[in-house]
Amino acid sequence: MRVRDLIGFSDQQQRLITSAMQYALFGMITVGFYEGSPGVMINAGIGFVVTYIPAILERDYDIPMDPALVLWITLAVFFHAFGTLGLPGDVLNPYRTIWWWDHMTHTFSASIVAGVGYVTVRAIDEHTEAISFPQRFVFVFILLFTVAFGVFWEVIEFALGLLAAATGTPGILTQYGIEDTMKDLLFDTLGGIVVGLWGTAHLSNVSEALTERLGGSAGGE
Amino acid sequence: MSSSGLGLVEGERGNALIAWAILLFLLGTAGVELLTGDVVWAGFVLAVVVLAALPAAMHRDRLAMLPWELLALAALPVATRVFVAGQTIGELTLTGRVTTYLAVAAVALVVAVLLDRFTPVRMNDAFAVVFVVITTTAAAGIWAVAQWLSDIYLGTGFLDRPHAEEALMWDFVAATLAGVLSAVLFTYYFRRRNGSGPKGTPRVEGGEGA
Repeated sequence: MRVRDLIGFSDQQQRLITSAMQYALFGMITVGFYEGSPGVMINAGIGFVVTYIPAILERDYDIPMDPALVLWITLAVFFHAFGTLGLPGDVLNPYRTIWWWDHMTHTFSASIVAGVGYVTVRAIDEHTEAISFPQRFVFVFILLFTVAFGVFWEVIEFALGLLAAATGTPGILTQYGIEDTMKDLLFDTLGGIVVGLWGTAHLSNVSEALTERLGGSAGGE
Repeated sequence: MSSSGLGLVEGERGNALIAWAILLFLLGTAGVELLTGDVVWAGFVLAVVVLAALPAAMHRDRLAMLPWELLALAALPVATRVFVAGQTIGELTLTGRVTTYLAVAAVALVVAVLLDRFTPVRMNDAFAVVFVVITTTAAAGIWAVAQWLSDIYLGTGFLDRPHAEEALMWDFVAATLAGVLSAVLFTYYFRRRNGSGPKGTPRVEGGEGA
């Protein structure tokens, strides 16, 4: 089962949606600049840069990027950046007004982190003789990897918060309290589970290419 | 069968002696903690003892023990809870957070060795270090969520303390720090062992550097 069968978009349409969101992200940077909001500018700016990573991987490193994979990554950064800005004329942003927005972005970004973890672990497994990972171990490791990254993310948010408090500037990422942090971690885990279950079906091309880049062909001696 | 990547189980008399002494000490403290009602800590300590005794049990050889330095590291928080926690240096109150997560890192390495030994999972040194860092940080997250859920559904009140959010964040910082610290420690440790391994089995070189 492929994602495109579910949504019903062709590759061409997916590429179109992706570049539309890239333009939108660039627009958000401009709006952030206009509104004098460093938070919006930085979040959208990082997102804008991230959307070019798949193209770089594909062009410079010969790692195949399915349009759906690119769309998936772009959607994640788009939703996050949009969450910090909101619709024009709106005082509050989706992170504040929509209760599930934070959960959605966390699940999304965690699924990407898990995807990166999955591809890397599979590639190492194929490439290195001294290493061997059964499927079940990979699943558990992906979960641990995603949760660890979630914790690391909370540490970054906390550190930026302390920095903002010390310098008296508005924060870039916001922590809303203990319940929110815990739910973040739970939804991070959900993203990890989704990739752990579907990873084999969708990411094997990427991990094969990465294996070859590591120098050892996947096929035997 | 013994072509494992992590040759960390030893068969030496001296090592086994110290290792068993550490496990005995841990067993004693677990008993005391059970009596004083500190069930969570008793659980952690008992888990360490069981994991550490597994190689000896599986090989039916009481000399098959993990390096005692590793077990000492895992026993560290028990000692620091007695000697360090609550001490103040200047304005800083020591809580033993980092040592606790260093112990978690040591346990993660023990788990890595056991997986390598007794399951189809095979790791090399470099991956074992990555595994330890990730597991340590993830453990902090899983533990926090477990405490939170337990507070909600069992009414335990683990997080019912002043500035719980901030305390939790410092836990996360400590775990991340301990993860990195243990990575440095273990890398150095592996390198030293491989450099002058007394009876180390020849290692299959994976071709990958770090």
